[in-house]
Amino acid sequence: MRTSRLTDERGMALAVAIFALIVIGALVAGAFFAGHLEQRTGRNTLYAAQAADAAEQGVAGVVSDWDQFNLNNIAVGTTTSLGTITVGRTRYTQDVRRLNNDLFLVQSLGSRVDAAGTPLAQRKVAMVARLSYVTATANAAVTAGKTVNFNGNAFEVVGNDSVPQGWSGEPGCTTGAAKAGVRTAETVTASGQQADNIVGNPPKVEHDPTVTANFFNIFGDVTFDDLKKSADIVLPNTTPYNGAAPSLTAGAPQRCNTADQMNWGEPHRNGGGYTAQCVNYFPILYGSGTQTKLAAGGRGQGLLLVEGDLEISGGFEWTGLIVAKGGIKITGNGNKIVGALLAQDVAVDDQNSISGNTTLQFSSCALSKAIQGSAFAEPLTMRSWVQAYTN
Amino acid sequence: MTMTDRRGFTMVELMVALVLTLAVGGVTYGLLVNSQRVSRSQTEHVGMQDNVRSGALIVANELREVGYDSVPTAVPALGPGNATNSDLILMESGKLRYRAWRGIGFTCFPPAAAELRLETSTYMGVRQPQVNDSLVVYVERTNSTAQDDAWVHARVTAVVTNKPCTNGNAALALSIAYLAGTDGAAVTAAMVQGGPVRIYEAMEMKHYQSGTQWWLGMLSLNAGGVIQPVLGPLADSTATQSGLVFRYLDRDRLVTTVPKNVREIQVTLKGVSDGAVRTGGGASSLAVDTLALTTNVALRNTLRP
Repeated sequence: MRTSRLTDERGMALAVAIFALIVIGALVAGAFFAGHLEQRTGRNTLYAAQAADAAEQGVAGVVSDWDQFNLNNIAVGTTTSLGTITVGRTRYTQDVRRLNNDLFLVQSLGSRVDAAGTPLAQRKVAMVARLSYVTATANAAVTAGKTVNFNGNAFEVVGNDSVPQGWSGEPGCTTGAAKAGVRTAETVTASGQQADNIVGNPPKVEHDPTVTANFFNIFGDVTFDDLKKSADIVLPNTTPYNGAAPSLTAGAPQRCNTADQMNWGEPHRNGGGYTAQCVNYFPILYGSGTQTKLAAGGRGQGLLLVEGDLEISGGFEWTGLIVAKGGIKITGNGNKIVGALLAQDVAVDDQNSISGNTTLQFSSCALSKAIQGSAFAEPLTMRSWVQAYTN
Repeated sequence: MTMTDRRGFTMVELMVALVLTLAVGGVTYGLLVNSQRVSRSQTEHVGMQDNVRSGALIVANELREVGYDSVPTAVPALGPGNATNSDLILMESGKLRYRAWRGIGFTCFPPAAAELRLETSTYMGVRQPQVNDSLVVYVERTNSTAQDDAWVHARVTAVVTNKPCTNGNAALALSIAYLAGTDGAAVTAAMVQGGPVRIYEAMEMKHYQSGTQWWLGMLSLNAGGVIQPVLGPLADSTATQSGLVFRYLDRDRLVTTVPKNVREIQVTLKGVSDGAVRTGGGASSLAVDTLALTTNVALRNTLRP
């Protein structure tokens, strides 16, 4: 009997099985492909959303934390890059273009990157921002909500407009009409020689109806509270701040060290210790305590906001605007404030006392420069946001 | 070898084999058919998902720049105080007419009453300005305050691409015509070089029927022509459903009919499959599949205090 061989086998089970496997495999592959495609589409949508969020963060960060020193001084028509910030697998690259004196275009390119840093999705947004200026309505060297007491004969209050020493020739530095030496909602206590030390047109204005609470709190488009939120430096202590002076960063090239909380800009334009890199640094300082004390040879420029009382006890120089919600007390020698000093005297027991070898000089130039230098940007109130496609 | 050497199957064996083969074959066939239906319905479903998702992206991109402006204080040259100009022209449930943002540029030459030059290198947008586009020009007026800033509306009458800026760079020169009642000379005097100019195109987006199917279509009201399908097919329009629904929400997320109060547009797209697919068990469950996607588009240029 012949034994059966493989070639003798008949049937179609194998062929049917292979066919079935192919068909099932194709269906499974099709379903897998569709599912995979869906998964990738969903993931790409997520990446795009993450890139968009990063871009938004970049724009919001520049505007909300406006760098007055570096951005207010870039030339019209030029763009400055603020670098790239990486947060996990997202990053954003920010740059700012100055469109004209008041307008800026803030752009941010957001990216979602992979582990190697290769962009998986990108989105660019922009915002047109406008400098928001303080409108200082100061019409006197000193403006107070209550009585101002002068003591001794060494002080000098000058309402005549002047340019700070060494500032002549700087853009926008001109002088205007003479202002009052002192304006107050109550009275001025100065007699004999003391009265002669108050100069201006007129030297003093008592019971001034224009000196209201708004005068000390609303400065055009911005309020006292807006300004303190934008403060570059906060001074929380009630103990004296001594020896504030401009400082430089380490290493070449040395730049004005705006991270130094005791660097309040350079009001000098020459002389010993003069720090040229800081002449355009006009910070906003905010004394948040019940009392802010300044003393011992400190100097600075810009806007100084004080939530409580302000006490200056010798050797302090400030060029710009000072606004105190409380009273002021100035003693000691070598105090010099050029610009304007406002004291609201909100508390019942607030008093204003000026004595010692103190000079209070009105200067529209100092005010203008401080206001320009410390201006911060805000989005245009209408149509500021841009989905920044590039051509 | 003789016939008697051959062994065959008995009838019983054959019958059993036949029954088993039929049973296995039937089950396999059923599985294959079922798998095919599932696969097809999945493919249709994925297609619909892609469709409505794309639609949501397109609509969101198109509407996100929508804003409005107003003249804060009465300035005769610019218009009455607090008069508002919203980019939303006509708001209906299944139809929206609006000004679609097409680009932004910045003046690079002293503005003139009938011509604005935008620096080419800083122009951003989805396309270049075209004749009949509408534009809004930023007017700063007093630089010490933003309270009197305004956007003034005009229309592009001609575009020349090779004029110079003040700095010598290439500029897009737009010949413009201010709207009736606007004093172009006064506007020009209040403008500052470097200010932004936004370009817009009047568009219509609506749910419309072509043949037996419904689509999301768009039409340029500036250029005219016929409506173009953007995506679909969508569900039809009945009393109880629609393939495209716009809801206009104010800052409290309540429905509003006032264009300047709209802060958000809720868009619901309801896609349908191209053909009938199996949506449940049994052959009788063949039907057109549907999928709805709702997206809320925040109108970025209406978000202000």
